[in-house]
Amino acid sequence: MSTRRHFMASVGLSAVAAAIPTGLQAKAFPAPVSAAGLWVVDHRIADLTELTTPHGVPMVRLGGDVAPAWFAAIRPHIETRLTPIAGLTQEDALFCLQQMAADFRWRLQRCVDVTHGQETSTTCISTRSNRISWLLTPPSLA
Amino acid sequence: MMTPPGLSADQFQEALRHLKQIVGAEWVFTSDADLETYRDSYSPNWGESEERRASAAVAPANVEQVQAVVRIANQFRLPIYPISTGKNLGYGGSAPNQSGSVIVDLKRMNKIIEVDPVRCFALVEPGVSYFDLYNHIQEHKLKLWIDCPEPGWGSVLGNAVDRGVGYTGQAYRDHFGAHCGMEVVLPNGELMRTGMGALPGAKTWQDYRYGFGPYVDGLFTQGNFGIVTKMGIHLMPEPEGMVAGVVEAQNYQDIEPLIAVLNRLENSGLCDGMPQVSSPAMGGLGDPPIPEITRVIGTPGGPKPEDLIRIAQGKPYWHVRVLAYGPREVAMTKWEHAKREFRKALPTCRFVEEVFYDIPLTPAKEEALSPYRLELDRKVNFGIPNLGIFAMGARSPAFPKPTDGHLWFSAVVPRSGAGVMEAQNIFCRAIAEMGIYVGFNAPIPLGYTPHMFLMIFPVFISKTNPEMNRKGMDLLRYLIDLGAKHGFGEYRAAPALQDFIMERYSFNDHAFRKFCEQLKDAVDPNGILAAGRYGIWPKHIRNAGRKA
Repeated sequence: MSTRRHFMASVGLSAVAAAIPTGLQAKAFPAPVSAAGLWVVDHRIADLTELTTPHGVPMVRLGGDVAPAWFAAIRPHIETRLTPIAGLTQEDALFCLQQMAADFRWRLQRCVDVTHGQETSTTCISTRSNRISWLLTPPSLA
Repeated sequence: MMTPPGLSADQFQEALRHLKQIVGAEWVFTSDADLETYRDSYSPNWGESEERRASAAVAPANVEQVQAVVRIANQFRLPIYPISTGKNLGYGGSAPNQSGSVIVDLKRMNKIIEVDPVRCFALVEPGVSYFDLYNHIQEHKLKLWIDCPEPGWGSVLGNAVDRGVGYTGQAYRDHFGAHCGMEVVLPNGELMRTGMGALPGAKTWQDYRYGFGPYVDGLFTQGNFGIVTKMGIHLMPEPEGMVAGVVEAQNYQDIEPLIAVLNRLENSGLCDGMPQVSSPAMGGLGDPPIPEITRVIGTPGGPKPEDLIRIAQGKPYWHVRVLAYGPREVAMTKWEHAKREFRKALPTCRFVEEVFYDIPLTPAKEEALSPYRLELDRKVNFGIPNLGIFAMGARSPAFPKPTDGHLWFSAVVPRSGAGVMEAQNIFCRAIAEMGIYVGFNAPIPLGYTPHMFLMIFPVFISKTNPEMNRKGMDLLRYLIDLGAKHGFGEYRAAPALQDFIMERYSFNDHAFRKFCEQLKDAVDPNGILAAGRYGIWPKHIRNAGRKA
């Protein structure tokens, strides 16, 4: 039987998966996330040096300042693609991305506080966690 | 669906139908999901009945559409509230002062109309962000800098008309002070240009801001007298280099000679970068809170010498980071002169750091800059916009949880050591009495402009803890009230505090507010535009608005 860890490994995100307790992976990475056309990972969370992106799933890395990743990869994706963006970041990065994506009417469809294993409100992101998995979707999929 | 105050549901639908005809149906937003993005993410009333929320939003694409929207607003007595990019978090975000207003979202108007590298200005629309202008300058390899706040996602125009501030040369950090010429849609839908722009075909609109006759641009800042649709902004020529040097002083009272010298240097043009005062002894933003420091600094009558020595634990009380621009020999000469002046006034001071940056920075040098430590050189000191501040803001692991944002307390403080010590004493006393951590153990003076300090600090809010928000608002009102009693007022505030603050700007029985209200009644008789912004309400809801 395929586990989320297997799924994550299959798309080359094993380092991200490794940053999440095994029991929470199903919640952190449910089925819609597998449809993501871009992955965003926060290098403050996971050691990403070995990360690869097979199956053509592009990945962008960010840290304390999301602006370089936003302009280099995330905004171009939002402007030209209709596939969701999935991520595992600290909450400050998600907050900035959510605000900027909203200008394009993209919505935060779900987010999971990975540290505490709770699905959290998309309008009120938990500030108790510094590890959140999330999915941003275009208006056509919202 | 929320209905604007004073309109029936049918009237509102009819008004929306007209708005759709103007901008296209896809640019009129009424769904819950769309309106969610116009909430103030840092509202102290999140989810409560007092939260100020929009009933709809409309996004015009050009000035003609803005004029048409304003005319429809007058026809239906529809309250409207313009935003540029709506990202002045901590000062209100996108949310209107009057709940039920329709947001006029100007993000689609994002043209950089002109950048002149010889006369050093840009002419922009409201939707142009600092990132946009920076990227334009980089792409065209222009030898110009922008001056941006932290964070850099805000509107160049919007920040100036909110009277925001930045971090580069002293002639550019006051963003309204650096603006030059406006185009404004008045509350009756008429189009006006200010300064030299009033002359048809003017060739100097962005060169001389005053034009001929009364100077009215200030009315369109922190106000509700028009929608600014174009604005000129002066840009700093890219300097050849920048020197940063740190002066260290051991004692709390040393702030007096330090500031006296700093003022002289700045006002003589010899230290033309943003000076940064910090305090190793009292700690910085994001450091673990030490309530005893706040209590000692706020001791009634002033801190006692023995307490000051005890809480410092051997660390110096002050660091003043002095920045100067120019070719290496010029910048270093300024710094050497500054050192002589500081040493003359305070023989015990030390010079603990000195760095020279060749400009433009190499990518490695730029990457090495701190995005958020206030006491270090940061990207914004080089006019480089970024979002690194959010890694140290309310969502930073450095602050107590849960926090979802903050309201800024932003007092104007005299540019003197005595003024700094008095303000710290007053504000620390209030913070200690209320027992609320505000991000600093003691607020630090910020030298955005050469003639005043701002004492700015965050009071944290939570979307899930209304009691915490109530306490935070109580603290803010207490600070505002106490400050006003000692002659200190705020330079900027979130809508939830604007009426409270304006009530305290009361010289001669509120002569200032009454004058603004007379103007409001004259130019916006239907009271459609940004009702209540900065405490100015239209006649028909004046009393109710203030009470709310």
